[in-house]
Amino acid sequence: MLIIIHSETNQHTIAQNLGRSEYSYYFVLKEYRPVLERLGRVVEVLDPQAEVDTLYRECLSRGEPCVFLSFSPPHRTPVHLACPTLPVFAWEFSTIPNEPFAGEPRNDWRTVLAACGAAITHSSYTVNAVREAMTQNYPIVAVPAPVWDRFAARGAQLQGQVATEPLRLTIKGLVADSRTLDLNAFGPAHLRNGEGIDFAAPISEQALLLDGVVYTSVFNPGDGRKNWEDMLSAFCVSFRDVEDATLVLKLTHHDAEEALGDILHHLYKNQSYRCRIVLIYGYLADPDYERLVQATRYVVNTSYGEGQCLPLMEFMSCGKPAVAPRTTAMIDYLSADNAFLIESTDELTAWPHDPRRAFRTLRYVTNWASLCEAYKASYEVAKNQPARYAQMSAQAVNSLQGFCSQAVAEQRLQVFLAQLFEQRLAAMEVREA
Amino acid sequence: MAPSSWDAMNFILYSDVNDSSISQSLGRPEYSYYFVLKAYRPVLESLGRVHVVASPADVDTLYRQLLVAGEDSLFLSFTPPQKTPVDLECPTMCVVAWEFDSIPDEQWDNDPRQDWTQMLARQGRVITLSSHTARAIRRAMGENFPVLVLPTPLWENFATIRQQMLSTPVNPGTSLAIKGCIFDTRTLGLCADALIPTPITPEEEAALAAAIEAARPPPLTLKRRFVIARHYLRLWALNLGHEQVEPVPRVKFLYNWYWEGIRDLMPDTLHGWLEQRLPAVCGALPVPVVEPVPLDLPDTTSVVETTVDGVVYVTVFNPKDGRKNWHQLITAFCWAFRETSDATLVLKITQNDLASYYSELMTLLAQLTPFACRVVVMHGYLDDAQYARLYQAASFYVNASRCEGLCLPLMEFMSSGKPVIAPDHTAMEDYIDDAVAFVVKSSEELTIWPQDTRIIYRTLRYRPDWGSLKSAYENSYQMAKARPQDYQRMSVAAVERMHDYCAFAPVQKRMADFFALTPMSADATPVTDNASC
Repeated sequence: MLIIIHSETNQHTIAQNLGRSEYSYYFVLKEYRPVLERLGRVVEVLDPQAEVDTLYRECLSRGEPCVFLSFSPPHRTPVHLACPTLPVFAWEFSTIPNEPFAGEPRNDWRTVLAACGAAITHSSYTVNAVREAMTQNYPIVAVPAPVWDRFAARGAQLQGQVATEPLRLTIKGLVADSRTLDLNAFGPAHLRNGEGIDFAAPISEQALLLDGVVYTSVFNPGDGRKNWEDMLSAFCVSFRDVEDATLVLKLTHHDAEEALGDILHHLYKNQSYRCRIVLIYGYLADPDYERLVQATRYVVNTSYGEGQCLPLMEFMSCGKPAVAPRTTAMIDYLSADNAFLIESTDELTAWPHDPRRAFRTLRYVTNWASLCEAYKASYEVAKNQPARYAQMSAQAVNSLQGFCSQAVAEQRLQVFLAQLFEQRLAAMEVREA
Repeated sequence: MAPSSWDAMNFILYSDVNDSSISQSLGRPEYSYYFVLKAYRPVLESLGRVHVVASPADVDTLYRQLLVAGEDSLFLSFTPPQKTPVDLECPTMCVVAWEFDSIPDEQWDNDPRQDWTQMLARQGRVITLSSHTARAIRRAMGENFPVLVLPTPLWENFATIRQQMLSTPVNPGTSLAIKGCIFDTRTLGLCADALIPTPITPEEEAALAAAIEAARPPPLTLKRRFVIARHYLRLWALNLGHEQVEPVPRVKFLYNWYWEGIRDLMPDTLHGWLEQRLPAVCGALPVPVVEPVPLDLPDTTSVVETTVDGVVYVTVFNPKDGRKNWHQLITAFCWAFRETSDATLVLKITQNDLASYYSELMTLLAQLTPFACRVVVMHGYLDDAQYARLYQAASFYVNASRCEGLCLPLMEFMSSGKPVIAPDHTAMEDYIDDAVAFVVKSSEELTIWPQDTRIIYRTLRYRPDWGSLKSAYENSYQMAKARPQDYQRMSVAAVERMHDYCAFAPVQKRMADFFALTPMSADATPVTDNASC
């Protein structure tokens, strides 16, 4: 079997696309690839229009099954190829786009999903939303990006290495630390004073020491779903007088000033607090990323919704319990056994790529007070209940194995693709008969 | 013989807004203080003599005159503490309308008056509108600090409305009139697709490209440069510009020659230098400011009418008031009733400037289309009779605020026998519960004290739960349609609740007890108003 894969962002364009809307599709493609390679031959194409059908016809002539996996939202998935095409997409809203807009018929995802006849997504929440719009037996499967194996292995190495002294990270980029910053440099214009951050300065290596109870979140601040305002303000309120609580925000974005500007202002706005906030903007080499994971006690997510959330899955696979809401894709892998759950409520919103901003779907707003409770309860467990922490940590590894291990992905994809080919074959035979 | 305490007590009242300035103040923050003053006045009149001063500067003069006559005075300042004078001889007490869980207990902008704890400590006691604010004050001032919680008495004002009709859950049809204008989603023709420009067709695109090509100046050949130079330099040399109808300054021809004929020949490095040395010739013209197309707003000078029926939800608010959370109030309504044609939401706007909210509101409604339910926006001024029709028309009143110091319209509609949809936070904890309302859940969130220029998070407000608000709409509609007895029970409970909370007698008793005064008589003077919260 030949599996052709493509994402609009690829290894050549990833650097300038960091933090842009479609960039995460490339990471998903990368995570899928080793599993796909166990199921067939894999060819990554840069130009689907030019390459896919040629490859498909070659397969056809050999009698080899062939499928094109387009790692893209349905409205950016080609529908006129001869090769069977499946979109592999992430989605975190209660309904899928079911009307055309802005003159593009593919914006009605039902058009694309009907034309493709099948699709792959990452969560049962999205499977349900798709089947709601299509039919109850529309062929769609939830296959999360299989990140577990790699991170569980790292976690196993780290097991038992509970840090007694501060962990030292080297970061090529910017580090903003609430302990050393003059927060008044980020206040309203008429009150601003003190030394800010020179974003134009050349990139240099920074050393960062982390200790105490460290909470970490990895996200793109330009992504409107992340709700970092609540994450930060509830942290500052919960740990106003707690010196050894630290929140590390590892930020992914293509522009440092844009990424940090608003967050720095909120560091000012939330003062004063004795807890520590660290913003990391820049690249972490693997050993340093591992040290960040090692230093972390909890991974934090306060999003309005997630298609799957790779960083959350990665940290949990490493044995880090979460502070997060059990909504959207997170329903599949969060429980009270591996996370301090934040309550949330639904709210009307628009599909993110709808320029009309027409209200058509729901997202989930965190309950701020319940986030504060989750922070406090998790801190208490980290400090005083080592057995409970160890249990949650083990549970995180286990649940994520069931959710996003390569074995799970391989098994699901194998069954799904086999059924697909079988149905296509049957359909063809019927047509020929 | 010394006069007994009650007939010697004089209340001197002041608010920044008064009878003559109120019409310009519709929707401004100090506006609600005026309504509180007006509502307290009859209670104060029943306990002593009331003097309303036009300026705080008049207070001490009056105080001294009364003192000479052997009478005591108390200055009640219906202004926020930081705006209340600190140098008066007359005993002063603030009436504080506040909706946050803490009061300012630090100063900023080098202004000690911003620290309310200093102000209140100096005055020694305070009046506020809700138990929620009283708690915030006591947390800062100590448990024993004297705080009088005094809602505005208004129950009696609605006696006529209560007598005229029994509240009906499903309105058979009420005509509403207003001096101003009415927007009705049934006739506005709003559409989400109209929110973005129609994508141009390939033919239009080609035509546009051709037009741009045609408009492009001919290439700058040597000959062309010569023609340009000759043309402008001639005009410059002869100074022919001053003969034109609108005289053109002579230097303008050199400017045109430079920009059209030779600028592209100069190296980039020279452009800046020339611009500095010869700004009149080589400086770029300022980019013309594109004036936004003026809104086509309707006439608001005449009385207009509409009829509402079915299950009618009413809310009264100022769209520029950030506490009101009106986007969610509307989105939850339209989502809950997107297939329900006999649900109507009436928005009575308390904001004079239509242009200040028109686009925002119309965009929101367009984003929500299509929906079968109906939204009616009433902009303008309602006289008492017109207001009475609005009270009658309502099946329910809706509040979805983040915080409230009191919320007069909510109390007014409840006093008229209307069950409500509202959260039970801040001031509303004093009178909202399941017996009278579909309670909207909410959770806390951080916010600033609104007057704090440092914009630092110092206090809490509430985040109403959208899902719970939507359910409240659905459940209330169900009740209106299917369980009229339950509706009646809730209506009666609302009237009773308001009687206990804001009838004249209980409010008078609270005030009399606080000041240790004896009422002179028990009659109530009705006050009419067009109050916002």
